[in-house]
Amino acid sequence: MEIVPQLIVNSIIAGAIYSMVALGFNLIYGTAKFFDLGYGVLTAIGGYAVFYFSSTLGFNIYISIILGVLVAGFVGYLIEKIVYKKLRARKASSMVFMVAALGVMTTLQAIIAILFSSQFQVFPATINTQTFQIFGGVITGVQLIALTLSIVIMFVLVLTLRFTKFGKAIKAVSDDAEVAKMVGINTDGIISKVFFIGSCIAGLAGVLVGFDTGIEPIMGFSLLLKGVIASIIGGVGNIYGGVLGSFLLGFIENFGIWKISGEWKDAISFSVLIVFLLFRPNGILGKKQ
Amino acid sequence: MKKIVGILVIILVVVGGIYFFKNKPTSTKGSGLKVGVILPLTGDLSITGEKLYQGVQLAQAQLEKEGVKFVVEDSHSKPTDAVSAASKLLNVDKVDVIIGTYSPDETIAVAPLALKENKDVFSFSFCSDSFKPLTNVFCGYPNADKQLDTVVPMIQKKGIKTMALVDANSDFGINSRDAMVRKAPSAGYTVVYNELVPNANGDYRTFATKIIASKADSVFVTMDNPVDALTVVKQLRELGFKGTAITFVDVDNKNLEKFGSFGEGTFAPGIAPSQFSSDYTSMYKAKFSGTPDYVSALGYDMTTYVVKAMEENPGKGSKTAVFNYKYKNPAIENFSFLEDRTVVYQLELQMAKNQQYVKAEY
Repeated sequence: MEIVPQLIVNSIIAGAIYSMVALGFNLIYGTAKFFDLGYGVLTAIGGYAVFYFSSTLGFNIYISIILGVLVAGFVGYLIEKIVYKKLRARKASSMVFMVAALGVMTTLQAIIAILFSSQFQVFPATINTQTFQIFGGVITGVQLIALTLSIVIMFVLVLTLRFTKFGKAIKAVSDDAEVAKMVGINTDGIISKVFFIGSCIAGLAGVLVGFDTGIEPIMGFSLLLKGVIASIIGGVGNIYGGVLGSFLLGFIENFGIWKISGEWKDAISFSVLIVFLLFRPNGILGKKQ
Repeated sequence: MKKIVGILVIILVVVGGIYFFKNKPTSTKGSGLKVGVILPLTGDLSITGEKLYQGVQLAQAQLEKEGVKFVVEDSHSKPTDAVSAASKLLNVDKVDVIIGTYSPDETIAVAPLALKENKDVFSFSFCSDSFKPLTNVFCGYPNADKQLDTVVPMIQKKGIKTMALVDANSDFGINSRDAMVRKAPSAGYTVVYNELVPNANGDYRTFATKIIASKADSVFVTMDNPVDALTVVKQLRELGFKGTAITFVDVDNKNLEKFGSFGEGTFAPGIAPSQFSSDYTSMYKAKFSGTPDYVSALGYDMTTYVVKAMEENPGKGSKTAVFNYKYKNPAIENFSFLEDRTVVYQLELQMAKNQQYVKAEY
C-alpha cells in the first residue's frame, strides 16, 4: 500500500461524510437563515433508529435504513414545528435560535443515551464489507456507498432547486421570505419540508458513519462541527460550496497530519476556519454580503 | 390583625415542625458510614463506568441494609467534572471515603482535594507512575509495566522485530507507551512508529495508513475506551495490515463481538480472571442477566472490601482499615490490598478467538 494514494482515499472518504452533513446544514441555513446547531444530533437519531429496527426489532437491514432515515427526517420536521416555527413567529433573534438549537441537541442526545445507554454500538455486518483498490488506495464497500451517495444527493438537490416548482419556492424563501409570502408562497410549509429533507440527509450520514465506524449518542456534535467548518470554507448556504469545502477539509486534515502528530487534526481544521473567517468570511463560493 | 398574626404563627409552627422532624437524624443501625462513589457513567469512558457501577450497585444493595449510605456521582468521563463531584462529596455530603474515579487523569485530579480533607481515594485506575506521590490513592489495576510483562514472551516467540505504538494522549496511554518503549531492548523489538492519538476519534484511517507505511511487524494500541482500540485494529485490517495486533484494554467479549472477524487474533495483555465466586455470579445473574466480568467484579469487591474494613476498624482511617482486614467472600479470588496500594491481581495474556477472549496460544 502506497501512503499518498491511501491518504487521498482517506481524504475523499472524510470529505464525503462531511459533505452530507454540510449539504443538509446549508440547505437549512439557506432557507431558515440560522445556524442550526441541533442539526448534528439528527445523525445520531438516524443511526440509532437503524440500530433499533435492525438489532432490536430484527427488521431487514435495508428496510431499517429507509425507516431510520425517515425517522431522522420526521424528528427534524417536528423540531421545526414545535420549536423553530414558534420562535420565528415571535421574531426571535438569531442568538435565541442558536441557543434553542443547542438545547434541542443536548436534550435529544440525553434521550438517546437514556434509551440506548452511552455505549458505542455497531450495526450487524450485513451490508457490503468488501474492500476495493482504487489507484493504490483501499476503500471499503460502505465508504464507496457513502461517496456515491454524497455525489448523488448533491446532484439531486441541485436539480431540485433549479428545475422544480418546490426548488424555486425554496430559492424564493431563501432570497426573501417576506416577499415570498406576499406572492403567495407558504413559507412555513417550505421551511418545514426543507427541515424534513435536510434531516433525512443528516440521518443518512449517521447511518453511513454507523456502518463505517459505529454509533454513540454524542457522534453528531463533531460531525456538525466539521460540516459547519466545511460550509464556511465553501460558502454558507451554497450547495456546491458545502461539497467543495467538505472535500477540501478532508484533504487538509488528512494530509496535515501526515508528517506531524495526529493530535493536531482538529487544531488544523479550526485554524483553517479562523483563516477563512478573517480573510474570506463568505467562503470560496459564497456571495458577498 | 390578631387573627392574621395567629394564623401566621400556626403556619410557622407547622412548617417548622415538619422541617425539624424531616431533618432530625434518623437512627441507623450499623456504622452509619457515608461512602462517596465517582464513576464515568456518561461520556467516552461510560462503557467501563457502567460495568463498574453494576458491581458497586450489587455491593450497595447489601451494605445499605447495614446502614451504610451511598452518594453516587457521575464524572462524565472528565477530570474537571470528577473534581466537582469530589468537592460535593467531601464538602457537602461529608463522605467518609471516596470509591472510584476510573481514568488516571480523573484520579490525579481528585486526589489532592481528598488529601486536604484527610480522605483516601480507592480508585479503579491502573497504578500510574503519577500516583507515586499521591499517598492517599489506591488503584484497581497494577501498573503498566507489570501488566505488559505478559506480552513479552509472545513477542519473543513470534520473532516480532518492529513495533508500532499507538496510544491515547492520556495518562494511561502515555504510561503504557513508556512501558513498551522500556521493554523494547529486552523483548528484542525496535519501535518504528510512535504516536499519541486523541480518544473517541472514530476515524483512525490516517494513523492506520502511517502504521502500514512504517512496515511494523506488530501494532500495540492503548486507548482509554476499549472500543476505540478495537476500532483502530479494524481500520488497520481494512487497509490490509497483516501483522500482530496487541490492544491494552479491559477485555470484554461484548465489545469484541461488535467487531466480528476484525478482532480475531488480537492479543490483550493484563488482568485475567474470568471465574468469580458462585455467590457473586448468581447475584450478578439475578440482577443483570448475562455473565459477570472482571470490571463489574472489581466494582463489587473494591466497594465491599473498603466498607467492611472500615466497619470492622472504626476510627482507624480507611488506609489502616484495609490493611488490617481479612475479606471473607470476595468475587475475585484472593481479592485484597497490597503494600503498594494496588489490589491482588492475576495476570495473563489473552487473545480473541471466535469473538471471545481466551488464554493466548502462540
